Amino acid sequence: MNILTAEKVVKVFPKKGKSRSFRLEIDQFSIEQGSFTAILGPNGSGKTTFLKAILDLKFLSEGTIQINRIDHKDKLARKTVSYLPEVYSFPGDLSVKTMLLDFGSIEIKDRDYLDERITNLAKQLKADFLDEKIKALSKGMRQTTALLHTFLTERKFYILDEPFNGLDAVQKKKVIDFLLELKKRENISVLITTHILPDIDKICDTIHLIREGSIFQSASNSQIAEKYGSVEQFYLEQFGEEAAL
Amino acid sequence: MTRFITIQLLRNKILMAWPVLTLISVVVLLWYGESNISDQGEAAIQIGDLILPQWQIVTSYINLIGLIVLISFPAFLIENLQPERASLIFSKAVSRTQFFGSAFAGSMIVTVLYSVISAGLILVFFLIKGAGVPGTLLVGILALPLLVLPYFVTVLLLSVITKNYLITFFLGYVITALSTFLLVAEGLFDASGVESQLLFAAIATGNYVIPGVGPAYELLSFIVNPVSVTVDGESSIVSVSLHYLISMLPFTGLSYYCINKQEF
Repeated sequence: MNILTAEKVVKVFPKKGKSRSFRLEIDQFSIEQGSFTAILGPNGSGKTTFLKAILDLKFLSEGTIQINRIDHKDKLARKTVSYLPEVYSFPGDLSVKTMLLDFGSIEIKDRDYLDERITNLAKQLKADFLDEKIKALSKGMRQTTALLHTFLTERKFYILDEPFNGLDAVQKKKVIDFLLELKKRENISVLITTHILPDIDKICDTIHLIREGSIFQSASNSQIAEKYGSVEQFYLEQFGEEAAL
Repeated sequence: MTRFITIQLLRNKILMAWPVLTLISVVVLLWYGESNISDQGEAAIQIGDLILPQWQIVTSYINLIGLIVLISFPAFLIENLQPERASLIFSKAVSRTQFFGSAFAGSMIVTVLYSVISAGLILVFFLIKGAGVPGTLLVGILALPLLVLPYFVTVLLLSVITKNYLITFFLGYVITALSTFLLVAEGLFDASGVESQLLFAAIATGNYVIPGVGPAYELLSFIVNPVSVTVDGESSIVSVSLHYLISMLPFTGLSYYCINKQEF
């Protein structure tokens, strides 16, 4: 069963002033339940736009997207999914725990459950700074806080935009182990974008490459391992020349 | 969602100035002031030789509350509508309609709460000073959410459109002041001999397009200073109430439309 299906998706940003026009065009895209999928591509290729279109944060010009077989515009569709944006803003004056309690209360009414969930998640992701104010956190701690926020609600599907931004090697491993544990235990699905390619080998089953708004290459992890050796090599062979130019 | 917004507003330090300043005023008045209630039930506060009747107390109070609301409400609206925050909120199972309704509900919950606290503090002052219960003054203060609503509607639209704190504050100030002016503008121009039908049409339109801070003031004055109701009191209250309600529809509708059309 597919947790996500996107068909004939088009999102057009017309040219405005000095900003260039951009067209995201994805003919067919799906993610199976329990699968970890990555979309990789250079900056400005349309990764974040596609993720935001899935969540109806950016409106489609054409096409349809379904999350768990529900139209993505319906708020019920978002009961299946949790999202980590690449850029986020939490109130700096609050402690991490207070912020998580506040934001968690939007969807979770049971305060005791929420409290317990925060404590457990913090243990699993080794976040021992729940009482610190957000404005006093380092970049890595802020990213861990954002991950705590994302995993606060137990979902079947997680959309993670650059989840490893600012994390050190130890913290990154914690997050990867946590995701793999969730996959094993809860059969979750993940759609991820990242520039940190070595980690993708460890977690993703399917990789899609995107350039100028279109997915032009897709492969399974095993196909990539067989043909290119690693995702990094796969990526460099596709984009290396562009990067050199 | 309402709980989330209510908590945000309760944490807003500028909005918190409302009950805090009331508390400080009551403490100062307990020290230096006196109170009395006339046989007609009109309350007054005396500080030295200065006597403040209840309509003057409420007028000064609503000017202060209006300013606090204009400064504090844009903050939470603009913060929540910035893409970095909105993408956290609207990626959850929350519709924009829900956010919109919760923004209204949260603002009104906090406003009613602060009005009740303020009325309670003023009641304590009058009771301690042995003047009795200042009924109409308390009703006037409890009715302050009536005044806050058009301020909120104005700030909501400006926040959604501009997403800029300073512009929202300044335009909000101008628009709410304009609403008060428009209420008396027709009479003023008429008295000064202006005969432009276009101007009168513009004033009439403005009266029903701009959220009615003016009518809200008028409704409050009906409550705290019934003597001011001179001509056909009851029908005047009904028409002012209708004016008050209708005038909020255009800004509310436009804000709702804009929130639903915004991408984050």
